[in-house]
Amino acid sequence: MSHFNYVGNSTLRNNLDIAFDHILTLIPFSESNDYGQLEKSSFRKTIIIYTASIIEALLFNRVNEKCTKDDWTSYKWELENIRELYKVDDQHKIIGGDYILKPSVLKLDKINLAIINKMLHDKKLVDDDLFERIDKVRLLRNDQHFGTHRVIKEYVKTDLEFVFSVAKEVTKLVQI
Amino acid sequence: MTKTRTKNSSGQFVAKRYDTKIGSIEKQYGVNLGVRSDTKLGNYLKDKGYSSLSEMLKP
Repeated sequence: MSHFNYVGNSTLRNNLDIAFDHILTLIPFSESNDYGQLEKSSFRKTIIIYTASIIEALLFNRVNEKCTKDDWTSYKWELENIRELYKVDDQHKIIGGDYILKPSVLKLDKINLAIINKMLHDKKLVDDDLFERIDKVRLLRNDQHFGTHRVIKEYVKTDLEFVFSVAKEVTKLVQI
Repeated sequence: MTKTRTKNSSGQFVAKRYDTKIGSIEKQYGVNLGVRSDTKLGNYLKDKGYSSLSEMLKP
């Protein structure tokens, strides 16, 4: 029996169970006295990434169920048929052309947790508090990109309980 | 760590549950997790302060 039996897509359900199971495997390792703080922090980092993946997948599934093509479409102004009217200098030109508001449909493989969270918040399917908390999970998850970090980040137990509490809320939300 | 995930006789992935014994995790991964082997995973998580995760586990 799956921990995500409310998810209809069997591939997604299996992937969720596999990710959840890996989290359950790593938790005792992050608590074991056989490992030092550095290793425990690394286990926690992996757990955060997996938990964020579960949250993202569940919310993405929700977006698929609840959002229409209109929700996937954004509009932006684009300049076409550009004509140079006057050259001020080598770095400055006065131009003319058609300025058209064009629809752009989001591609599924380009959608990320920030976009998913915003779409659900915009549709009032995620409240303000949960929106903020999901975004905090996203930021914690994105800390994996440490190229710009100025200090060595240590992941602690409270980080884990925080992401788990958000995951629990999200699992409740997607079952409504 | 073992390379294969736990599967049942029909090859289906078997997820850990609330009542999975810590001993079976220790045996699977060859580690000593410093608690009684018959401790249930759900109770272990609660005791360690992961009540949200424990609540997400099916019985």
